[in-house]
Amino acid sequence: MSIEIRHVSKTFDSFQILKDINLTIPTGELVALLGPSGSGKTSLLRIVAGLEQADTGQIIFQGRDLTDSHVKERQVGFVFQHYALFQNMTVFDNIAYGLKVRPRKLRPSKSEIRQRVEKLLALVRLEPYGRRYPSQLSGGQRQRVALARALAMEPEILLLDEPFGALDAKVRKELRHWLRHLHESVKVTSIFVTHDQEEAFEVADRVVIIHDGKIEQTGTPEQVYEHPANPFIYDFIGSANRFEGKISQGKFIDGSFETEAPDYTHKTIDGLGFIRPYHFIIEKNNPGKHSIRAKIKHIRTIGPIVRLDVERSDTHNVLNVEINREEFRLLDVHTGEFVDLRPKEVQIFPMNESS
Amino acid sequence: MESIVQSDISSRTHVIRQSVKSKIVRWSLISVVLIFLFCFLVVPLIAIFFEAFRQGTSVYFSSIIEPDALASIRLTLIVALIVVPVNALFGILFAWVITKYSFKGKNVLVTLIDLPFSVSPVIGGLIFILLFGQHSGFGRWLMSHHIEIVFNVPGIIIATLFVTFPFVSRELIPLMENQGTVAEEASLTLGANAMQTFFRVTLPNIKWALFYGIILCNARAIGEFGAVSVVSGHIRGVTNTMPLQIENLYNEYHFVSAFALASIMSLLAIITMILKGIMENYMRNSSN
Repeated sequence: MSIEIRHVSKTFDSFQILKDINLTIPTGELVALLGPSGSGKTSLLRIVAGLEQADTGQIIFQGRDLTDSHVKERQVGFVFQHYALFQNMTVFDNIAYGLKVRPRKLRPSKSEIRQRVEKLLALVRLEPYGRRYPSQLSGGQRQRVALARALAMEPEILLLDEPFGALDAKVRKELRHWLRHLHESVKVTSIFVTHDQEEAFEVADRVVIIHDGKIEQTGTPEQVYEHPANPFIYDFIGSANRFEGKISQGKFIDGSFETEAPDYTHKTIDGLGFIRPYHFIIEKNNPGKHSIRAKIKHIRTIGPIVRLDVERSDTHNVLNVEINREEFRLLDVHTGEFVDLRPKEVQIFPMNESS
Repeated sequence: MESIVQSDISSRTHVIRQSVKSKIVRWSLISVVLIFLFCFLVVPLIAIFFEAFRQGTSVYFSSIIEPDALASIRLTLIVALIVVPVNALFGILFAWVITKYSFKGKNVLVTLIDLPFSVSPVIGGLIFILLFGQHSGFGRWLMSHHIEIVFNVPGIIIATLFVTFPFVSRELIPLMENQGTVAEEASLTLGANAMQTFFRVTLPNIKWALFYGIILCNARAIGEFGAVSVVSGHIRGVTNTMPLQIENLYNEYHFVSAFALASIMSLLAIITMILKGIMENYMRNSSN
């Protein structure tokens, strides 16, 4: 079932949380709504579910306008951030709930319900836990119950609100893979909200970046990562070092550092440059105008990579640089030493856009 | 090295002295509390039963089955049977509206709910005399249609409703505020309607607090004197609840009968307190 969001706007207490959102999601796609907290992504998801009403705009499922219909009629599966399991029911009853509350004519028989719940328990790998209560499960298990509960009514649309937000890093990774796998087997149109870019890139077919109630960019994880549409996105997805300088005659200049900017050949304007921490070549004693001279302030080893905090000699701004352990060992540098950093890749944006 | 050992010993003796001191303080405070409770709760309670049985069990029972006494017991139970369910329903509704919706004037409403606690019950009773009695146009209209509220059972019920209506919602509001609406939302997304959501999701989550509120409401409905005294008119055998009947008997020097009825009320109070204790235990266990 496809989802179409048309011109949706929403205001909370004079604060406009969504500004004219337009988005179409084809049947079977898994889309991540990615954005910092307060960007409006959860509100958008809740509007799609019918838990909240948009001030203007339409929500259309498979050509049917459901803007004014109740949550109940939309028949979407919704997974809440903090699971929202029914504490007074066993895992089995939680999953069976959506089937049991159906009107008598549409309700499956007891044995059918039992079969269906058991199948779902197997799907979320919780077969032995049917008779337990939610309080007796771990966070990851609870979230799997919440997913099974949402899937029990066989929805054609699945909405997930920061589904892994409350879990620890390892469980989160596991569930991410599992969700991806699940989506491939069930093929239900899904939207999931997250503020974690790694999660979005790993799970989603398409990433929609939301900021300040507006869609900033839509695209596959590769597209968004390789070609961020604006400085905000570049900064938001993955860490980046920011350079404020001038663009003039095909060059970007900040302090004593300059680099080519062939897209901007004419006038002199203010510009922003971004360099990823791992896009530096570190050299000892190779100064030049395409390099940045800097002093090493801190060295931290995190697993296979080494993170350096360096202070620029010209502007005294601090840059983050990452190299792998092997390179670091060959380079043989220590805190307090001066090095020359040669960027491999610089992304340049003119300043007049939002920054 | 030596000095460290020394100071260690001295600090240890200090700790011991401290703990002895705190032991003395602890026990003296506990005994003060116990003596106070004994004088002001246990002694009067024993006195009630002692006075009630002073002239033997047969006098005790005959003063209870005396028609006016029985009528007062019956009236008190009828009032409680009507007031408690009404206020339980109203309390749930009120707590639901306060915690699940947001609207203008909500804070005013939350403040207003406590009015019966802050206003003297006598004034509560007077309000209804003024409203339904012959001093108001509405009251005269009611009387001309032979609807008698004041100095009659409906007046007693209304006054008791007024005095006891905060109990249930006061218990529910903090709990429901804490629980939020997310479980209800989950239920709606799973296709349940509002009734199903209430009975299957909301009610099980609030049941202990609800019972607790009902017990408190019940205790007050049985024991209410001030507001009821104003509206009842003290018609023996008709509009006398147990507390009013006890007062009447006492004023007429029927001490044994007064204390016999008082002993029944005390028994009800003790049962209520035991139930309350059990509820509190359950609530603590279910919240853990």
